[in-house]
Amino acid sequence: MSQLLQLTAIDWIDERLPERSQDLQDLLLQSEAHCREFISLCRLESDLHRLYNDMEVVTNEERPGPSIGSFSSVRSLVAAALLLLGLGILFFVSSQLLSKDSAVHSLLCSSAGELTVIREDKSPVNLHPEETLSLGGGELISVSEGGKGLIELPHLGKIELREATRMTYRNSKQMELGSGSLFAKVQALPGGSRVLEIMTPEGVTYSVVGTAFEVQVLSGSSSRLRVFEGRVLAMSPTGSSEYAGPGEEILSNSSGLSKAGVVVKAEPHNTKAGIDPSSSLLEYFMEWFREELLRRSPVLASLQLSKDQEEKVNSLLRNNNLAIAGRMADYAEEFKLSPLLALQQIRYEIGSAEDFFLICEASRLALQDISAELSEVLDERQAELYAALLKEIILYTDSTRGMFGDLDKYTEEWVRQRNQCELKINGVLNKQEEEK
Amino acid sequence: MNEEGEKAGFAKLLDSCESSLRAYLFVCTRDHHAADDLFQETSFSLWERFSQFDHERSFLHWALGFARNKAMKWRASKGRSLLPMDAEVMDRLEAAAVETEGGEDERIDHLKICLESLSKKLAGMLRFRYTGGLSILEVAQKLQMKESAIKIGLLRARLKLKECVERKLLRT
Repeated sequence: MSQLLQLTAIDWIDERLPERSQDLQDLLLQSEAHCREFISLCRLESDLHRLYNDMEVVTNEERPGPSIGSFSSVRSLVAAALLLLGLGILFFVSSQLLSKDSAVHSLLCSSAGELTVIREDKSPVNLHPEETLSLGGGELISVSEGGKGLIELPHLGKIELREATRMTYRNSKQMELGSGSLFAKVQALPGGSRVLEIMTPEGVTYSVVGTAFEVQVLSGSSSRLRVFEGRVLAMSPTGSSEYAGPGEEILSNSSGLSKAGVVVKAEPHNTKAGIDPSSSLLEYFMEWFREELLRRSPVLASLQLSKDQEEKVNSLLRNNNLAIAGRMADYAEEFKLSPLLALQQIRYEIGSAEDFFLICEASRLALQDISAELSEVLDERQAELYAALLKEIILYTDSTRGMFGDLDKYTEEWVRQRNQCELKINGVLNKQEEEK
Repeated sequence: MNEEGEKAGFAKLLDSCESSLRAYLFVCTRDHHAADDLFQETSFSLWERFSQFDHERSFLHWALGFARNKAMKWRASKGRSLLPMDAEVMDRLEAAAVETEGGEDERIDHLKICLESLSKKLAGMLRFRYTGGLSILEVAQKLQMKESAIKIGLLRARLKLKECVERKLLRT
């Protein structure tokens, strides 16, 4: 497969054939290893371009002896000096990070309900809303039913503990989730270093590169990871491992790790009446909207188009300002997301969830407008699927807009409590810094 | 930090991820000259916002965000003459670039040494391809060879170079 990628990638680099571009994108969507390989080939391509350009400039300026060897030795000295300087800076930055981390403890705050912390000497401490506590290694945190906790990790980010959650805090980089769920938003570290590790009862370690994700213990022997932004590596005790990126989830159980895309829609149009925002995926989804982290729209359809049909459909969509893109190679056929709205572009241009819904609405109308034209391009089965896609968009935009209003009211209080907690935490941290 | 120190720090960071940024911009544009221009523009924007850069984060990750915006604007200015880019693919490539970050300072130096190990024939093909920006057909005409032979030659040359550079990076 790698050879096929190399051939396709180099063909894409050298030739201007449109079909190569699509082939390449398909290959890149198949695996992360392909992406790494492709980036590596493109680095080489850019470096060759730079190198020959540099040599051409040197030759044009009639500098003496532009041989690769002599040019290299001067550059090597500079490179070596830079490398030493770089190592020095890296050491300095690392030591700064470490010293900061050791000087400032993680802080726990109760943002709702009651929290109990069993300290290492086994003494319990009850935390009431907006009270904070400095955490130490080996302490057990228990969040009551209806409660919520917020942990500020020094210089790394925040972890929200959901209701009915038990977690053992080892240090600011290692935690064991015994039951319940947590939502974390952490910073990515330079060079893709691991930021923190969350261990679950069945022995899986979720090693986090960054940046927004949720871990939920489903029972004593299974857990679920959902990544909203960044990347998380799941490692099972049997030695298998899986990476999950934005919009993906990993389910861990006795049969091992299985990866799927997050079906974000969660049939919101059917669950409106009985929704419980405190534990629903929709809550995170909406929060994700608010923070403009959304990457894709929950539109499910499975369309197998010929090249010719695809070209015509894409042309119709483009002419109507509809960006439909993306294929998820790892999805089971029934969950294959194809097509889906490319929200990456929208993310750069819109500021709020409300705007997003307007865009969804516009997309829906535009799809309706072109449905007649689409039916000329598609056969009966495909047209049926497209109709299903349209229906999904209609249901999705209608129901989520309604829910957004409900959620606004619900989250108002919760956001206020969380903000209070953050203020308290900041006050404590400032005091610690002053004392230091 | 004084301004000179800040500038030196910025230059070093930018230098350390130049290859990755250029590679990413090349993927977005598939045009070396456009990628060069966008790299310059990106560099300016990065410097303008350098005071906002969180030094605890990856500079490349931060810079790729700027590069992506520049590339998207560039692509928009080209209208429909370019094939659409899949957002998912771009996400994955950004992640791959960050993940494989490192050794950028030495990469060019290793490449120069590796070039010397190529046969004269392969080195000649590369020189024509990159110095003059010639197409495969033009290189074939210059060297009086078949187009397919040039394609295979360039493929072999690149794979050899890639392997050689990666081997040297591993050693260092």
